Amino acid sequence: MTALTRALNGIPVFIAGFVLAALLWPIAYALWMSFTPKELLQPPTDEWSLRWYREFFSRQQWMDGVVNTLIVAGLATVIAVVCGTSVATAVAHYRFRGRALLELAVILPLFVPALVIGMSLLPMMRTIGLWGTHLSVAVAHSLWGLPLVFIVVRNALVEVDPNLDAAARGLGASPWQTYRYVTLPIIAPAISLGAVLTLIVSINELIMALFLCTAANETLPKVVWPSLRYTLSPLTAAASGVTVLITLLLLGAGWWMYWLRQSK
Amino acid sequence: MHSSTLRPWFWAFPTVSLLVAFVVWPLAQLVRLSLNEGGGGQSGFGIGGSFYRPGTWTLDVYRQMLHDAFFWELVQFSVWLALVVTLLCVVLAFPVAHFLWRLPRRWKLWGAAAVVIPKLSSLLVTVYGLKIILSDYGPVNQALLYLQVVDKPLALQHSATGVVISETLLILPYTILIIWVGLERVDRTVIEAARGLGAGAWSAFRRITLPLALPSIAGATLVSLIWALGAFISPYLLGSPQEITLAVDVQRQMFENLHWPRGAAEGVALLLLSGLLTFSFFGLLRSLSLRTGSMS
Repeated sequence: MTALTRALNGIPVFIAGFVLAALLWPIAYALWMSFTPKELLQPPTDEWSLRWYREFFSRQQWMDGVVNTLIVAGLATVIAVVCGTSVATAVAHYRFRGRALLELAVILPLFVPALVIGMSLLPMMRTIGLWGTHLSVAVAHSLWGLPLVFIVVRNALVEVDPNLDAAARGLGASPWQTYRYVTLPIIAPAISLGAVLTLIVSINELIMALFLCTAANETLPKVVWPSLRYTLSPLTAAASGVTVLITLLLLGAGWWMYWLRQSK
Repeated sequence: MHSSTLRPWFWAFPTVSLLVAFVVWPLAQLVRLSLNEGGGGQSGFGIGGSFYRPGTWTLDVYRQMLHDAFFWELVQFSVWLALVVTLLCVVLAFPVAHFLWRLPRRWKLWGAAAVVIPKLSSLLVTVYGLKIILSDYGPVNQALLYLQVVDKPLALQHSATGVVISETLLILPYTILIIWVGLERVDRTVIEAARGLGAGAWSAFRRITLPLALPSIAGATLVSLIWALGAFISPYLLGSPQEITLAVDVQRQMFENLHWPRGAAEGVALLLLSGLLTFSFFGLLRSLSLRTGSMS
C-alpha cells in the first residue's frame, strides 16, 4: 500500500471522527458550562460549582416542569405500550386484509412533522376540553412512542417459536392463558425497551408541548424554551444537565432490563 | 400465523381508535379550520374566544396566502434549507455509518452511544451548546481569530450558516442510524469473496458495498428530507428574521397573530409540500434506476 492510498483511506475515518465529535461537542460544552460559578457564559476552568443546579432545584416553575414532564412521559408510555403491544400482536399473529395498511398507519406518525401533529391537536383538544391537561400532551407523545414500541415488540413476536404456543394450547391452555403465561413473558424485554424509548422521546419532546402546554401542564423543555430565545444563562445549562441525567438513567435502566432478561 | 377476519381487529382496536381519534380526525379538522374565516378572537390566548369564525366556509385564507409574497419566501427558504441539510446529512452520514460498521464488535456499543445520545438527550441541550459555540465570543470564532483566518468574527449565529449547521447536527443521527442498519445487513462474506477474487478495496466498495447500501441511503435521504422540511427549532433559535421556515410561521400565526385559519392553511401547505417532495424523490429514484438499468 502506497503512502497516497493510505492517506486516501484515512479521509473517511477522519470525517467520521470529526462528525462524531461535532455531534457530541455541543452537549459536552453545555454540560461543562453548567458547572460555572459565575454569571458569565464562560466554561469553568479552575473553579467549579453546583450553584446553578441549586438555583434550578429552588425554582418552583422549573421543578413543576420536571414533575409535569414525568407525569406526561408516564402516561404517554402507558398508552404507547398498550396500543403498540396489542397491534404488534395483531400484525405478528394473524394474516388479514388491511395488514400492510395497518402497519403503515402505525409507523406514519413518526414521519409527520411534530409541528403538524401539535398544531392539529391544539384546536381538537380545545374542542373536547382536554387542552391544558397532562393527558393531551401524553396522547401527542404516544403517537411517536407507538411506532417505536410496535417495531421492537413485533420483531420480538416474530422470533417467538410457534411450537411453544401450540404446546401450551395442546396442554389445555386457553388462547388468553397462552398469551398471558407464554407469549408475554417472552416479549417482556422488548416491551420494556419500547417503554424506555417512549419515556425518553416524551421527556425531550418540545414542539408538540409548545402547542399543547399551558401554565397548568408545562413540561421542562417548554419551561426552558423561552430562556433559550431571550436569555442564555448558565441556569439553562443546569436544566440541560438535569434532562441529560434523567435520560442517561433511563437508558441505563433500559439496557439493564433488556440485556439481563434476555441473557437469562 | 392464523387467518382470521375479526380476531386481529380486536387486537388492533386500541391502536386504530387512537389513530382515528388523534391523527385522522385532527388532520381533518385542520383542513376544516383552514376553510374558516379568520378573526373573532376577543381576549388573550387561552382565556376564551376563538381565533376563527366557526361555521363559515371560505377559500379566502388560501387566496390571500397564495398571493402573499412572504408565503412564497417561506416556501423557498424551507425547501432550500431541506435540500441543503439533506445533502449535508447524507454526505456526512455515510462515512460515519461505514466507520461504525467496520468497528470491532465490542466497540460498536460505544459507537452507537455516540450517535444515539445526542438524539436522545433534549434537542435543546444541543442547540444551547451550539448557540454558545457559534457566538461571536464562542470557541469557533475565537480560534479562527487567534489563527488569523478571519479578522472579525464570522456571523455563525443569526444567519443561514448557523441554521444549516444546527439543523444538520439535529438530523444527522437519524441519517447515520438508518444507513448503518442498512450496512449491517450487507453480507460481509460477499465482499471478502470479491476481494479474494482480486477486486481492489475501492472497486469492491464501489461495485458491492455501495450498491447493496443504496436502498438504505435512499431511505435515509427521504427521512432527512421530510424532517428538514419541518425544521423549527434551528431557524427559530439560530436564524435571523430572514431565515424563517414555514414551520416557524405556522407557530407564529397560531400564537402571535392569532390567525388560526392561516396557521392551519400553512400547516396543510407543509404537509402537501412533504408529500410533493416524497413523490418527486421517488420519481427521481425511478428515473435514475431506469437509466442505470438500461446502461448495464
